[in-house]
Amino acid sequence: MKILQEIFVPQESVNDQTLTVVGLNFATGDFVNKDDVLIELETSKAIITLEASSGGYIVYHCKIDDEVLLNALIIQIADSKPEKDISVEKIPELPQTTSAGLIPETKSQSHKEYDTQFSQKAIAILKKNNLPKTLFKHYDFVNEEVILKYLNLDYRKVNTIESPVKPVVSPAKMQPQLRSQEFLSKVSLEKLSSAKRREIEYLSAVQSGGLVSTLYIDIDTTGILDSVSGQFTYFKNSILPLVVYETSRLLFKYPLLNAFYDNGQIGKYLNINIGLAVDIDDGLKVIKLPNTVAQNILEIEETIFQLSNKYLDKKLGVSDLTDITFTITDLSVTGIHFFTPLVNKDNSAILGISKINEKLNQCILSISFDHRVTSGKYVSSFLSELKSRIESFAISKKSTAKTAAVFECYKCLKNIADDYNDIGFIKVQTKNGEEKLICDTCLSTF
Amino acid sequence: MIITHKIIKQALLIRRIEETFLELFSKGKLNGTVHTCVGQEFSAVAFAGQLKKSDFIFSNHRCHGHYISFTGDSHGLIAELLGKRTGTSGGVGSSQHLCNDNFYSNGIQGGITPVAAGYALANKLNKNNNIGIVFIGDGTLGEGVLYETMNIISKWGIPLLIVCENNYYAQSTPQSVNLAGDIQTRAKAFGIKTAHNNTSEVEELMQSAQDSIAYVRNECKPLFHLVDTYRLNAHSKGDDDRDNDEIAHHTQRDFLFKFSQEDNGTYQIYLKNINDKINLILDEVEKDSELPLNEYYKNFNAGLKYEWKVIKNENKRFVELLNNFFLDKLAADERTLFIGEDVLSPYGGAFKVAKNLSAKFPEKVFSTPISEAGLIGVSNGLALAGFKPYAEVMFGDFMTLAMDQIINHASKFHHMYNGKVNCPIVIRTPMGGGRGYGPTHSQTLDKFLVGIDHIKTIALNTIVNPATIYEVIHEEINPVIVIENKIDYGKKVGAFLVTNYSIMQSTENYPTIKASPIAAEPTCTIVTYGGCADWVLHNINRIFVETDEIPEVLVLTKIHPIEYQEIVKSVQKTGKLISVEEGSKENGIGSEIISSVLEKVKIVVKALRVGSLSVPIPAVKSLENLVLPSIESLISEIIKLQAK
Repeated sequence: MKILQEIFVPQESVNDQTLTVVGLNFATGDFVNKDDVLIELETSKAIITLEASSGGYIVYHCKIDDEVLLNALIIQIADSKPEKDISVEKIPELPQTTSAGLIPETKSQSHKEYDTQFSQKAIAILKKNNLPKTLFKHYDFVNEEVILKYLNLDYRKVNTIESPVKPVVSPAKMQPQLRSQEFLSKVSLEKLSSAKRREIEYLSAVQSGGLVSTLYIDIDTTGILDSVSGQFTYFKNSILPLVVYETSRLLFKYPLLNAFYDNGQIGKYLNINIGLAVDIDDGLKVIKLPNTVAQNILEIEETIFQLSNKYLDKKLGVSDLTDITFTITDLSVTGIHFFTPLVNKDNSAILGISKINEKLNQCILSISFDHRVTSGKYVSSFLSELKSRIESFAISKKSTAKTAAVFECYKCLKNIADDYNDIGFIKVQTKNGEEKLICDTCLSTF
Repeated sequence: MIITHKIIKQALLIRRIEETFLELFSKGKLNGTVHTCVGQEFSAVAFAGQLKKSDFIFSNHRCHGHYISFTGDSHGLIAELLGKRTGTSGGVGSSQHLCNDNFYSNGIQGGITPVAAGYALANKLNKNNNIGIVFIGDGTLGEGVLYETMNIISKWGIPLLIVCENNYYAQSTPQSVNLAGDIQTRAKAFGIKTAHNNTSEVEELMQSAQDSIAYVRNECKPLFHLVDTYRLNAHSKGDDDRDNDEIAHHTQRDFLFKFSQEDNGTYQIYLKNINDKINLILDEVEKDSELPLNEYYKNFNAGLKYEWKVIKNENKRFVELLNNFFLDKLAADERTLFIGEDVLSPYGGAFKVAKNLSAKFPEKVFSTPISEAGLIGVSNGLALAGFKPYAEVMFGDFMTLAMDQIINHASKFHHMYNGKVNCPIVIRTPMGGGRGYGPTHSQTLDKFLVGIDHIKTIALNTIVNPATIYEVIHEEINPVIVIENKIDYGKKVGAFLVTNYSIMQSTENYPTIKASPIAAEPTCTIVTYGGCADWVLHNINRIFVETDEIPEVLVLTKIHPIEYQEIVKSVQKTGKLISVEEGSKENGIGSEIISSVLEKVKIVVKALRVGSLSVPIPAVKSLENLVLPSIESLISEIIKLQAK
């Protein structure tokens, strides 16, 4: 095959380093005549065309939407049909984004997302000490300092005046321990997924402050489930909706638990957005339960159910996972008696619900909190009041079904017989124009 | 036209106020200086006094007579010069910087003329039949921007009346020393109709002024009206070297002087009434307080909370995204205008940002002559009048020609008029070398465009969609300068992978881009912006390989005022701060960043500025590459820093 013409990407504008192929008028192997328009290229200023200066069989070394470098060979015209294509080096394409605009985790052709990088100094020391690179395969960056540490040698100070004060390093950011060959031969190491890395980063954010404390309190569940299970559709043996309901309201009174620590300041959120930690099949996620401050317990139950399904269907969006001001984690179905939850990033507290002990009629609530924002006394007060409010749902043995049906608070569904404040219910007009009854507890929240 | 007593009283009021100012100055009760118009009052009465209230005036340093005739606000003027908060501009502007409804004055000779032209153009676009007057002196005829303006107003048919008060002196220099040629011929050369009167012939002046105003309004064309006059007092206080006989001669010709001689009884009655009125105002103003600092200066730069999000890959060219933004905005927002040189279709501007704009929106896209000061000035005027003009200066190197309009006008309007006006102008320009354009077409002059009061300076990059930045800019009510990079126009915008790094953008209006190692601790902080962002980010791994440093790179979008929160956080971790800019490093953006960070951190920091060499950018490619900053020079400088 004799090449009659080679066409290179011309420079039309001094500002362009690449052009985009926007039109191919033939296919490789077609016969073209002299002066036929072969290709359309888009510059930053205009679309240009390139023509054949001789007749022959065309070979394209590019395709539509390719970014081609200046002076790159893009077309050949030969005297006979080509037997195979000759590929031309192209600029690596940028990875395509998902509809949410997120770059997928797949590795591109020329850029690996995760790969151990060695500096020149590091390579020089490896060679000098006859060390294999594989020793450090679990590192991301290997520089001189890393290798010298491995060799247990003193490393020179970077700053001869005064070393900068190093803040407490997040565990996620710490380099792994140096391991011997013998040790490495006995284990299988796997790199963390990016989701897990982010989880570590989020949880480390507060815990690394070193001032997280946990308090526990037990809830007497006697009569509570009997009281509400008839109302609930999905959570018949759980107090989760009650906890969410009461916590949402109580946080107005305890704003430091609806806050966060930030570099010497305390930020109090203007809104209350409860997040529910969920970890079923798709990893730990904290899902925002919107508008719980305005919902009754049945509406809250429905919200939890719907969002759980959304989690399972992998349809959660960014707005479902952000702007969370307080987190609740419910391990009651797992049989855990009590546990110490971890405070989430940009929160100052997290409430954990343990299993309901049916023999003792007891459920332990645990609250971990950031001591930089608040104090044990403050949190104790919150926990005690939360306990009282949840326990107020317990049905009284003296109440009648008739009473329960006629006189109940339209917000918390508490029965008038269960009004432990002995104040009674107040008639209110809702914004829908209906007359309803509200208990003192719910009224004082508003 | 008959000279009514109302006209005479108005002129006398102006004179007495001016004389009162001179008396107060002698007693040390006025700050600064005062440029009185004693002897020139009838020019003010004839022109300013015969406009409609919905018309406008731009005046100059000798503005008091124009102000009183147009607004009738003697109280505001006196309070202003006495420095009271009840003054026209809260005491901030004093004699030369007055603002009241549609009256504006500024002390920069000639600079007000294109602003007035823009304001008048706004009237034309709004089809409201309002016109405007800009007052200049014969001394202003030396300023180049006046001629840029006359060219534009004639070519575009802008209803602006230029009144040139010719008192034969530019400050203390006689006209015979400074002025070549004929005054009216200057305007006629631009095809502008002229008229000529003098203030000693008041009847003719009043009628002629009325005719000129009617012409401009009815024909929607400019007019240049020359008014010969004479100021009987010094240019400002105490600097009068003119011949006493000359002054005496003109005093004899002065209308008010003749009136005082010919009808002294009536004159004295008027005088007493006016003096009583002035004294009453002085008594009231005496009790007023002065403006406190917290009402004058407000820090607009409150730090806001932000989060981080993944950067979208637009997969479109930078210039295409800009062009689409302007197409959308011109369609959606009737205030939006596009102004620049050579922007008409099919050419669409030197870098094609304006492609197809004029074809689709012919009434909203203005292609100006090569007049940077004129086009920015006109844009200033349009902005003051409520439009949102996007003014393109073809090359950043040419911004120097527009500096007066930026610094003495756009930057100053809001504060010098005590917060009464906003100027939402957007000035766009491409900077940067790398294409062999040579010394005056390759510069990065960012350092001259930051730190200007009340103006935000933005530098776009190829990582974040520039249209999203412009959406924020579109809502700004204060001036914004946007620096684009000419090499970036052809590049595709979006994120890319860097091994072992996450690259995110903050949710701030002007986002910071942060490239951080995912697992390792960074060992140095690199701060950059604009055209350098692309090559710095693409070479992060190379920096590590060749220097041993693991950088955390922060790319700023807003380079004035700078938000330091993220930079400080990073430097607290790394202890090393490196700034990279395409301009020369001396007194540059990096200098400001490093010194500001050192004020905020409590640790010792190693710092380094990387920029171009301090020499004009040469055209020859090999030399240009060595003068401009590059990954090689950055690595070399980092290694030198390590050795210290």
